[in-house]
Amino acid sequence: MSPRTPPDPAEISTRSERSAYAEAIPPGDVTAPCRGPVRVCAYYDDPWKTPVTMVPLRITDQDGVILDGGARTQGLPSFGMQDGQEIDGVRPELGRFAFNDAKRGTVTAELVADASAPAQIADLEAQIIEDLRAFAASMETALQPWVRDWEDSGWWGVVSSVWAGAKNGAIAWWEGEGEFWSAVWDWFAGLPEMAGEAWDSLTEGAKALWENKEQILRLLQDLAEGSVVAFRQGLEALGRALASIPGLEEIADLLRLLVQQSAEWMGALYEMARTEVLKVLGATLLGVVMATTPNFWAEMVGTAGGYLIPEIILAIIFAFIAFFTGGTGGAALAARLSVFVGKVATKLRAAGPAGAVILRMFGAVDAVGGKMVSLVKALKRNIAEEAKGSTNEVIDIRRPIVRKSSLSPEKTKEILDTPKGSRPDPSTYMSQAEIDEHLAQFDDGAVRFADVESMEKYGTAGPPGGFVMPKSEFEQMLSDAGGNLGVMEEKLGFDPGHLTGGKYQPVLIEAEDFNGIRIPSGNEGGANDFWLPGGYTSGGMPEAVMDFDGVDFTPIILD
Amino acid sequence: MKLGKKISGSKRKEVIFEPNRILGPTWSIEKVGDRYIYEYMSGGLAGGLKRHEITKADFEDVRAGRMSDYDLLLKYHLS
Repeated sequence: MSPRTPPDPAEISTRSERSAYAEAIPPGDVTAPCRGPVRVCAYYDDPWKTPVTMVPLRITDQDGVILDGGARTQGLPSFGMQDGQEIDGVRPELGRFAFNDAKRGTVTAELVADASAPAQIADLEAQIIEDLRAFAASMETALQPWVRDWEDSGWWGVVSSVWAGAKNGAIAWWEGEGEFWSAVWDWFAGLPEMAGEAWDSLTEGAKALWENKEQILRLLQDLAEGSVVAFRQGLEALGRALASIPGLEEIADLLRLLVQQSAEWMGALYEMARTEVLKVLGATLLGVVMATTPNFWAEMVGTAGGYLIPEIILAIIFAFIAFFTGGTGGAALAARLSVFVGKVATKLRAAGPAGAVILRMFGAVDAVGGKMVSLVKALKRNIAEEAKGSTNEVIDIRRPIVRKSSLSPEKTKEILDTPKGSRPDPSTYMSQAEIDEHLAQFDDGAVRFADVESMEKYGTAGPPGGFVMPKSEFEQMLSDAGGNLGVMEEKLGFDPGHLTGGKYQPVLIEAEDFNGIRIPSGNEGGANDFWLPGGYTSGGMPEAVMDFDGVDFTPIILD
Repeated sequence: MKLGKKISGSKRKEVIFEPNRILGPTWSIEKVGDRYIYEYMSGGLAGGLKRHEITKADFEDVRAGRMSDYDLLLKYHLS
């Protein structure tokens, strides 16, 4: 008889595991299979699936509520971290939560809002807007010396009409945005010529910033328009552009930290975009930059050691982001951003009367800082979403981001008052960044509801300029309806029976098969009396159009 | 999401003229008795097949190239 060979450690481990699991199953083998884990993943529906962090959860299984309060989606604080640190290791865990004791089967997961948050938000929003309105009015007086010198040029006329609106309330001021942005870009480009010889004395870093002025100004415009996705993409692009320029290391590093090593402040920004504060703050600050006439800025070039509009705008943006990092527990990054802002402010103090005027703007930003941080915290407490799933899968809770058209009511009315067939192309009232951001929602494909009779008769899913919705929106709608086609019909405004009776067939158009996808102009044959400019339906659903001749399509099978 | 078999979309762009009918890629006009019926595939998100009566003059204008199917949509405020 050969000696018995002892089992190796791996085998012992395997045997132990089996034993351990066997021990865990109670007599009768009943309870354990009935209970299962609930895994939740909460995220914003942006291109990066930004996690929705630190929000209270409620879990309900078939027997009722099994978890209510005490648990939150994971955020950087859950791991003892904050924005601006090296967070790659924990990023996959953010926005997630796992609970191991639910009855197997259907489960509802909810992000739960604090009932007191809406009133606090409304109060803070009103206070901040009032503060900004008062600031805008005070700046008119401060800028008078430069305005008087510039009045004869005719340029001031454009801004003064916008400025006059400011005195009636900052939101009203914003309604003149079309002409306003046009004026910004016009005179911005001519500044080097105006500065004359002083321009030559600029540092290389300042000149490099000037070379990227469009991107920097666009950041502020995107922020003011609430185009948060475009804003983030702009930060990324600017970071890449400045990464290797001597003298701009600090700016490049801050941009890197904001984009690559942060997870909390973007969520706060998405929540802020649900208020009017972004629009008003952005319009107020850029309005002040604009109201400071070109002769003012030319003086600044000569006296402020190269501190030009791009750097001042960056400082304003960093000061602004500091509110969000501060409001979400990112004190270290907020401090770093504030250091940069402080350096710019210090140099402005040495820049004579013009520098002092710009410092007032930093002062205004600083003055609303406390309220902004409080607003960020209140907005985070106001997040409510719900998703259904089962114990066998990860339940995705998708938090929609605000994707409404940024058009003013006046512009919208002007377009709608224009007869169909003569309406302007969207590129005349939307920025390229807005258009790109909108159409990116269709990158995963588009869906359309094709009439079965017409599809068979004409062999196509639609005519030229046929409307489509993003595939992701369709999937979400299907999920929200729990697969109930009757509910889908109701949400889409179809007559009963259109889907359930098989009259309409949803079809998928893959992105590679798109033909001329674009923002609807309202001239399309299918644009009806309910059409709105800007790429969204009155219900907030994104839409686009494409030409369907030669476009392949795939029927979506609804059970 | 379950998908069926991918279908190739028609590439036809030409308009076919017949004595009592004009057949476009996604529309047609047909003389039915004394009436002229314009049928078109709506471009709305749920683009159904719609029909609207037009005049003989419209029919002749489309035939002669003085009017397009899009002009019919505008003239009769259709979508």
